[in-house]
Amino acid sequence: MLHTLDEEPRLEEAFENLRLIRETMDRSTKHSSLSGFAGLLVGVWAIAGVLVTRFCIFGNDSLVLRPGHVWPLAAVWMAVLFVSILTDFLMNKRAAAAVGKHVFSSLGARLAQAAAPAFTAGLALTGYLLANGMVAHIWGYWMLFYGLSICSVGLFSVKPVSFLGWAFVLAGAITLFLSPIAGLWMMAVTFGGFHICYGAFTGASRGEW
Amino acid sequence: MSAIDLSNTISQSLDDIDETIHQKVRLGIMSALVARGESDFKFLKDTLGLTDGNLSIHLARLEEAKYVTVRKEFVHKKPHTSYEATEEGKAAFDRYLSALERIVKSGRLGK
Repeated sequence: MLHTLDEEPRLEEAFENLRLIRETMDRSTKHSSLSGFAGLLVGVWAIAGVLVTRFCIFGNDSLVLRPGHVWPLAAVWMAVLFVSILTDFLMNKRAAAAVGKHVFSSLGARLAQAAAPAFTAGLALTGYLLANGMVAHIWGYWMLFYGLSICSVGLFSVKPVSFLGWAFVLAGAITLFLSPIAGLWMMAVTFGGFHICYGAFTGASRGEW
Repeated sequence: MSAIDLSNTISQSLDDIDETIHQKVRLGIMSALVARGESDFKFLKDTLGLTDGNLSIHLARLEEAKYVTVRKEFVHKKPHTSYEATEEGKAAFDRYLSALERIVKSGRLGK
């Protein structure tokens, strides 16, 4: 049992209390950053992006990038990115308001800092690939960089976030070896399916809807 | 380090042990509040795996010692209670942590 002052001082007790402090602090600062509903919605936006890309931009073309495709493609996926970030922000704001807290927190800033390098690198590479008409493997690169970004966030988050990051990295590595059309469907599986699975799991298991 | 030095260091460290914090539940509460900042009752209860009654008793003890402040308000017409470590509480926690570290260090040097 723990800790009365009249007990013989014990080294083990000091170790035990230091461990308790470390574990409690660790547990207290873990954060999912993507709620259940946000995960489900982000997945839906991604699937919508894939369908628009396939049927509205490329039509019957076999994903051969023509000059006229670049801006529509960039516009669709920038829109998906914007709507997804907005969804996550609004859901986090709702969750924070429910407990009387502000949506911007020091932990949130740390998560954004962690995600920023890989995310920025992904954006820069996207710009380069689109500008040079090299769209064939863009899907795999997106998964890789997004996965790296999520893995960084996972260092400050609950375990499922790290799993999600690794799932994207592995899927991205596989997608690089697939045909462009298969890569696009992998976008639906990963950005769509992975987020939906993550959202459902987070909502059901942790009650963070 | 000689046996006498070791004994003196441990004695000094024990003097710094704060009885209010030197209890598993209260130590957990303080660790959570120092790490996360302001937190509500439900978060503390879930994080530490405590019952309402047990948590309330220990929070009251920390509040009595002026180590935490309580904020009660209505959020969406529902009562909401949150807690935050005071500067005094954070300083006491730091002292406690330093004392534990000294004990551990002394133990290692004594081996």
